[in-house]
Amino acid sequence: MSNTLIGFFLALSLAACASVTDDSSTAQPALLRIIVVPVPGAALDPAAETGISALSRSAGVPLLHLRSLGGGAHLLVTRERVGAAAAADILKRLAADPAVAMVEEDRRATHQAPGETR
Amino acid sequence: MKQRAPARYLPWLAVIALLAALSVQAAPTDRIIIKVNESMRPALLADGGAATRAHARLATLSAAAGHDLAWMRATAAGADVLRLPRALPLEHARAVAAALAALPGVEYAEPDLRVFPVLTPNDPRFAEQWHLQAVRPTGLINYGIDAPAAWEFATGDAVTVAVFDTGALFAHTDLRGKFLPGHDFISLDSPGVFRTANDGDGRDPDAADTGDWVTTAEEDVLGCEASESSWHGTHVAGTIAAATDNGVGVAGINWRAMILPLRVLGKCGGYTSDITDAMRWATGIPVSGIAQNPFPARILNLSLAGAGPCGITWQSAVNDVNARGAVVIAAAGNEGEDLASVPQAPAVCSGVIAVAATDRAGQRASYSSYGSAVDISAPGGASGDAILSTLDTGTRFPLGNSAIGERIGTSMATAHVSGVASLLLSRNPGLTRDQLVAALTGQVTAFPAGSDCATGGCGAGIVNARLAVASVADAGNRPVDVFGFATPTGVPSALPVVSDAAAIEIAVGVLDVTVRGGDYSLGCTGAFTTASGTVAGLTTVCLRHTASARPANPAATVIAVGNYRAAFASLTGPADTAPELFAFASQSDVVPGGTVTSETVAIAGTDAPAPVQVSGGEYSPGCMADVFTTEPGYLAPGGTVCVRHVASSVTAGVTTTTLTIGGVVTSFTSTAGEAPPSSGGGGAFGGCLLVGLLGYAMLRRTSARRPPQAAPVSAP
Repeated sequence: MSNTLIGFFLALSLAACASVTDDSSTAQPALLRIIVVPVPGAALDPAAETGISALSRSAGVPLLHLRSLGGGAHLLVTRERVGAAAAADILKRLAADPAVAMVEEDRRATHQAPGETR
Repeated sequence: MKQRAPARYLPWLAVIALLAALSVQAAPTDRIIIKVNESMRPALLADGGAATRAHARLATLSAAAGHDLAWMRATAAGADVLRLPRALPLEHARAVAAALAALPGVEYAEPDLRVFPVLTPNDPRFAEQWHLQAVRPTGLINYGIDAPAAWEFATGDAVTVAVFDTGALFAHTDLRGKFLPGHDFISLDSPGVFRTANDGDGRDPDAADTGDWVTTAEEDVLGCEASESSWHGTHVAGTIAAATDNGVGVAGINWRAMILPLRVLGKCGGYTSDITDAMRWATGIPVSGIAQNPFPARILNLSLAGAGPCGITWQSAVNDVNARGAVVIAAAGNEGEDLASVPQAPAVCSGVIAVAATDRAGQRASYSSYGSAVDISAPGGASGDAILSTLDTGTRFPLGNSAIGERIGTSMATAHVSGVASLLLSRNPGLTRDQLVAALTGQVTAFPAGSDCATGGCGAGIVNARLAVASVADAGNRPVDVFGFATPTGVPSALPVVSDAAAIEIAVGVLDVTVRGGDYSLGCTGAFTTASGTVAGLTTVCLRHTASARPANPAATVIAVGNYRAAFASLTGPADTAPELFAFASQSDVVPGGTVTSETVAIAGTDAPAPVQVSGGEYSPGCMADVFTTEPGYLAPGGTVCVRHVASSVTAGVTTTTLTIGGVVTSFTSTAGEAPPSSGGGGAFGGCLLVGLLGYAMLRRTSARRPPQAAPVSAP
């Protein structure tokens, strides 16, 4: 058997093993943190068991409630790592939930001094 | 801390005169120069003869002045120099002169200004801080912020500047006494996981910078590039408030500002949800689960940016803090692109002062983002002309070596604007948000002709401390001299600390006294109060607070006497990160080649995050199955830990994992037993491993048949 062929099988076997959690072809999958504001007056309480279950159903993936933020907002996180495409889909699905007034990704910011010299 | 005495400069006067560097300082004066009609001369006439009724004339002038004036001498220009009973702050001396000038027969009257050189602090590295120095459009071109000329008007007071960053190194020798008790806002990534925080736990009142290094192995897990620890928050804090004229390190823009450290950036930055909570808390807005901040800030320095437009979370936080009169000063970002096409938040949010970076020549730095969202530029430096400030040289954990070093970026530019903003609030604490923004962005250095920025995209101009400070009316109503308090370090935690006594002299009337973060004692009688009061004449004041409950952390009391604020800060003693001895039970007869996990042990006896390193295996804080790591990190006080490794594949083979926590070394050993009878049930992972190993073995077998090849040449 040629090296190429063995390499192919090796890659195939490893890829099969690695695909357990990943559903995206591009960026590294990561836990998605989500900020959600329920529609004022709606029955949705993301901090409650029923609320997070409802949101999980809307999102299509299991979500956890991390904490309540100011202004009626709540911070959620996916239970599993998701790829970029799945993340966009989850945000779109949550935005379509009539009980959700606002949803956005809890994005990261970084310091702005990369050109470090000593 | 008195203003500099003129005598100190006498040996230099000749040199300074040659350089024509003399300029005017807003120091107190006890003299008024007055020009009157010949018939009103208070002592001598122009011909040298004695004036008649001189005493009555002087009494008239004294009555108008509200002070007993004494005649000193006539000037060559036919004016007279009168002396006040004591030195008055310049604004009072001006008021006296104005009252005299209103008298009939008085041609003019003005304070006899004390003349000093431009204020050059004695910090040894100040000469290298081109970014703080005067604007020189020709010759050795230097587009600094002209801080030395601004310091003639105001060297600052203990105004609060909130710095949202990686935390700070409180014990840096050039930042001693400069920190208010802040907060660590970095919450967990997901339940039980604190990778971003890198201090072993979530939110707590300890904003110390534990380092934000990212190893190559962590790149994929965390989603950013490997880097050494940045000590970014300490660098930013130093630009704004490094101890100045202290003979150590660098100068800061505001000589007495107090940094409120908000730790929001860890490994790979930080979350919008944490930063926006911190913004609200810093301005005094209640945040659930955290005691209210006793030192509300009106200047918020955000030397950070995240890709994307301004989301609702960002914008509502900016709106909330703006409503409190605060100014959000944020980095435009280092993408080097137009923000209209590559937006960065919070720079593009409405109501934010977005700061682009310029180099020493006043050109836009190549890395700086730009566009119509940018409000102002400031020195961010470039390679070879970087920004010098306080640092540490630890590549991962802090070394605590009080280093001074260089950084470049829109982060650094942002800190310059915040520093100048703080000087404006020191000069006039009553400025509204709009007035503050107008002074910052309306009083700037024009971009040099031909600059990228001259046609827009870099805001109004380059921040200019001299022009901005000079444009703001001095609020006056301060004690005659600035005062401050020494910073005790190594104080016992959670116990009261009392400051040394500071002298206060009030020249005219009474000034209001208020205190935050502790109590005060007028006259240092031992009787302390938190109640607001008034002070007049000459007295002393002592401040008191309870030291931080955490080791190596600051506590502070800030007293306001009229429009002057002074801070008394203390720092608790060093952290104890060496745990009590702990041990893992050895395991014998384990499955050869199997994964062996130790029992979970509790770590006792530490009072701060303890550095953890492992070799020969992995460890997991909290012993969570999915957070085992080989990377160095921290274990929080009261935490638990376990280790695991792959056992030897040879019967009786011994495998050892060494775990080092705060310098205490413990091993976990397993000894492999007999190989179990083949069962074939290795699970999915085992199956994968089997296929992988099989493939690898075949690969090796094929490779072995080939002759050795020359090593490949790697790219330079």
